[in-house]
Amino acid sequence: MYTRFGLLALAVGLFSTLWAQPVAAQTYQIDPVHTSLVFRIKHMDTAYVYGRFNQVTGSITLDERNPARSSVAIEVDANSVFTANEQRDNHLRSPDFLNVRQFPTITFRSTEVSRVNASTVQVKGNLTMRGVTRAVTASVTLTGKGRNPQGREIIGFETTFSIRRSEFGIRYGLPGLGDEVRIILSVEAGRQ
Amino acid sequence: MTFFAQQLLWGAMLPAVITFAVLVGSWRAWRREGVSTHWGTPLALALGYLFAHWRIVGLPISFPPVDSNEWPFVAAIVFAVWGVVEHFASRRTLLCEAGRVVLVVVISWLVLRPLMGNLWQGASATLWWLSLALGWWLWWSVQARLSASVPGLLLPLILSMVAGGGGLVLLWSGSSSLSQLSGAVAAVTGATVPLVLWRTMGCIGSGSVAFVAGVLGLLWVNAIAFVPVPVWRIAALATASLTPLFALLPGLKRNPAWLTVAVCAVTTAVILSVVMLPTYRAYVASAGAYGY
Repeated sequence: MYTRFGLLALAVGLFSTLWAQPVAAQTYQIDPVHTSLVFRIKHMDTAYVYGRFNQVTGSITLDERNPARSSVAIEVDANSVFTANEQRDNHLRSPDFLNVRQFPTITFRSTEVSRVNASTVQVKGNLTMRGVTRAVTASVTLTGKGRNPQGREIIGFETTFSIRRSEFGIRYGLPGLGDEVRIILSVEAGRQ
Repeated sequence: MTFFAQQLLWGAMLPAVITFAVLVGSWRAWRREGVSTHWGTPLALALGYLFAHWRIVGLPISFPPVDSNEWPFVAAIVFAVWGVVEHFASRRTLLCEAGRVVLVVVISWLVLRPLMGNLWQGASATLWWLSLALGWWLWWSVQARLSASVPGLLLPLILSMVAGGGGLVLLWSGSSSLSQLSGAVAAVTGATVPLVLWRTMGCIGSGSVAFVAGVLGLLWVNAIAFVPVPVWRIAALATASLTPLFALLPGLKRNPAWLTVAVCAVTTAVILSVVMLPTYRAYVASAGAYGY
């Protein structure tokens, strides 16, 4: 009798232990259609001009219990830059700015994720643009969780941070065309 | 001061002043040596150009450079040193030709390498690289021959006109930085023209031509590969720079020098306008209200 109870207790204990294991990190694919990468730059120290990149892809590995195990990898098609003026877009693609023929992709790879509060994490990582890699830090806010019309689990984040384009070797037109570039990234990603 | 005025000051006027000042400062010493051209001229041109490059696109942030826009800075130093070599070895034609071949093949490979296997695949990559290197070398060789046979202000004047007009073509084709770098070449080369007029002696020999043909050729290779500027526009610029060949025609040789210069300059201007006008029209048609 004691032996049976002992076996039952062992089984329950083992099951409970397994159940209590943290849920494995989930991977989400960035949805380019519902993701926006917007930037702004000051023109002649007067007004801000906004533009965007229309092709943003990548993946997010999210571990809600242990954010340190989370990671982000983002790729931006530099050729997809759009500022609502064809001539300016071509100029931005030229060697004066993004040099897209030589550097067709802008990438971000996270190196560290840490929780700030229930809805915010701090993401540190390497941003590579025009062949130059620099460390950047961004405060990322969870903007929501839900399901898309097909029933797929989706998650949303937003972050705003600034870089100095000169640090990436993009120095043409300084200081008339501002050095500081503010980046606003809003991501929607679907669970794999 | 307006943005454009600043760019003109830092990218063209000051570089020209630097080159001019170095040449004038050295002229007395060079005259004592009794030479019409001097090994220091390519170095004076290089000083002005390097200043302009620094102000327009900044100094290279890595060595060897990663970015196509950084290579002209490093290459300008190489071409200046090679210009000194060509000055002393100008009579050793085979050595000079071999050196030019090595320079254009190696430098164009270094600059175009990021496009090979990416934008240009397989045999197409090799074809692009070798075609651009061949065109660059042929053009440079003709300029070198002209430097030996066409003394005076004709060559620097025509090269300055082509670099300046080419700067506008590059601007309207989509690259302001390459346009301004071409303008810087025009400015420093043009700075030698008053000296030639003043001293009535040639101050731009094969060494200086090596520098100008090296840097301008590399800017054109960059323009074709990275902007991209249509090949025919660059070919037209190269053609416009060949008008000093007229000076070798027996018919013109008998005429006064000013007439030869006028014929060559007008012909260059006509060829430049043939490439500039359609480029400008295309630019205006697509520019909208864009002005930086």
